[in-house]
Amino acid sequence: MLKKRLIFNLLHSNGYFMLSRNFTLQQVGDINWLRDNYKFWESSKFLDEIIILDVSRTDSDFNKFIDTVQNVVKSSFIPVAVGGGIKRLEDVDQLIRSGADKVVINSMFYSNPDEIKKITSKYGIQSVIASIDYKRNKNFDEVYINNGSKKIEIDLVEHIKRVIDVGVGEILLNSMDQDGTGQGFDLDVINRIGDIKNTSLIISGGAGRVDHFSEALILDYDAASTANLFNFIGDGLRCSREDLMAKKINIPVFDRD
Amino acid sequence: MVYGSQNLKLNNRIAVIDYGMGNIFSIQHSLKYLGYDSILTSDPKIILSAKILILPGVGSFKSAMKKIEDMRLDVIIREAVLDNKIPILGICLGMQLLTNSSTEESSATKGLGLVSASTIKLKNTHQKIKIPHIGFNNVEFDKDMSLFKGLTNNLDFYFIHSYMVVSDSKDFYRAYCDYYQRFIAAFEDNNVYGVQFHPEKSQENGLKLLKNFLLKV
Repeated sequence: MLKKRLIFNLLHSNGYFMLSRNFTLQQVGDINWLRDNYKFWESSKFLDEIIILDVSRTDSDFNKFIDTVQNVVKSSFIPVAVGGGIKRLEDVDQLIRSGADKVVINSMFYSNPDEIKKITSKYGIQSVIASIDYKRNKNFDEVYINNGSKKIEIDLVEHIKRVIDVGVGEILLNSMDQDGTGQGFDLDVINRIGDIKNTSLIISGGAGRVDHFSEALILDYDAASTANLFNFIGDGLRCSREDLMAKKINIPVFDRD
Repeated sequence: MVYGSQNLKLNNRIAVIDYGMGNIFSIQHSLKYLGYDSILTSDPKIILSAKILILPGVGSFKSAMKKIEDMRLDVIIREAVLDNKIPILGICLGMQLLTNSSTEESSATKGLGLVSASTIKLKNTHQKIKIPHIGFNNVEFDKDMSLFKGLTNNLDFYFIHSYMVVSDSKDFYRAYCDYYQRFIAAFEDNNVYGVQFHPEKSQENGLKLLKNFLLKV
């Protein structure tokens, strides 16, 4: 049986990790801070996957980002998906060479789907996660690209159809309304996006409490992700995992001794 | 579990075969964490005299075999495994490449032919099936398999694939995965070993399996 996954999403910008609230960023510390103050590498034992996104709003230092990716890959033995600002196949080549197992792509699904086809024909569709930032409007969901700064003219349902047509292994749905609020996931989104039962779905945005993950994973989501460093680093991930197990949600079982 | 680097060194005799595809960084790093140095190489001399070979792989069977053949590595790997009897571990696509052939779309691509098995697409057996199969899935195995020594049955490993290895021989079905169909999760055939999952991405479960492979050979 395929298990549900608990994912941590590290937001990175020019050497620092960030907190995001409704897409406004706040710098919190560098990789040493993450290691020393939050024992992140210990916490990663309670995770099933890590996503690292370069969320730099201006020119980003790609070498610093690669350095961070390699540090995370070296310190954990779970899949690492990497993204943020990917514009061409060569960016993907470099990320995969640096230890990324998958890449996360957002804006390019809208602006340059042909380039994504080049990536999937080289690495397979399982190597690509489509990240979609959306915001609730009255009767539909709007989709934003370029770090949430530009609204596109098609809605979430239509955008997902196009993304699946281009070819993708998984879809990361990030609610901009819930992002960083700690109020819980937008659990209902799965009911609004129609029939996409053959592509894995990762829900993101809004986790703030230990039991928010089980609220999502008891539904048909394949994975739930949080970028909320303050709420979950330390004991939070271990407690979240224990909560999932106590609620009989099927998550991976790891040998621990 | 505590891993030491002092007593396990193999002096660069582990060759991770480099044909330009695969998550080599993670594999080499896992080996290092377990206390083993490895060398990433496409040099025939090193491959033919290695103590252990690891064949990684991500992407399509066809483009991987093309790269391997363009570099004449197919001949070298066969000689290393069949004549020099060097143990080899294929990981994910690397496992599939060890088989006779793969059927992608309608055309078949020849593999390395080191085991009597072949590679086909996962079957669309259920309306809820998601292909690619991505995520952690439990693996059931025969307790006497050396790769799984000391591991509890039904622990989870990380899979990410759309194809599976099939064989007419039931010896290949000693470790399997259930995902709307039963398929081979790992095999051991003399000195040829394959795992469909990524041990380097499966927390302690995968590290133990890798260590079993390294200690066994």
